[in-house]
Amino acid sequence: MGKKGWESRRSRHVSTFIGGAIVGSLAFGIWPEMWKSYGILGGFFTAVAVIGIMWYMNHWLGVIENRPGTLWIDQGLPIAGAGVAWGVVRFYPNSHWEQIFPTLICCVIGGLLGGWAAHHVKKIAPGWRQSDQDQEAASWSLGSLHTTPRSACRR
Amino acid sequence: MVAWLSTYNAALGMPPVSVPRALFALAGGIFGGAVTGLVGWTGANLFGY
Repeated sequence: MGKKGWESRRSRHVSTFIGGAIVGSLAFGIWPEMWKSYGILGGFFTAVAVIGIMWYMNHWLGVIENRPGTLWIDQGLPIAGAGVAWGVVRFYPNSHWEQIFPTLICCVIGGLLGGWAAHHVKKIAPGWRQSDQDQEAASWSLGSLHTTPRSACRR
Repeated sequence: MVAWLSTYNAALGMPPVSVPRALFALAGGIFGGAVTGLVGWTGANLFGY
């Protein structure tokens, strides 16, 4: 790989780092305060505002790198890291980080089951699969410069 | 969510995850969360908010 290619890859990694830092910082900087101030409605509003804007920035504008044909890296990964780091630092010395493991393991198992279920639902429902293929074709026919096919953005 | 997406994409037969990309995203999140937590900790413990 030439120098230019390596620099390009490096800048994409830096971009991914910055995108992850911004979404993690905003999620845990704004969300708890909104929830504390405005209750459940504040939580819902923040979900729309923060995650919506961050989704646009990270996935539509492509700050977090997602090349077509590669495994999707979602905002969930940096937000998960940010949640643990925020909790450990914010509540020091009463963080008790070792107590996260039962919840973490249950979340991972639930996520795996959800992914498996979603895959099989799409497999047995041809209408959904067809819709995805149409979107994919439409995305490519537009000659989009985005790093992500449109169908991936809408998941 | 990460597990959901990983399983979902892996089940669709997509290539394995790019480890450097995932690590940079995770590192960015940890950095952002730690900075935000430090701001909150400072406010709570040094300024009494």
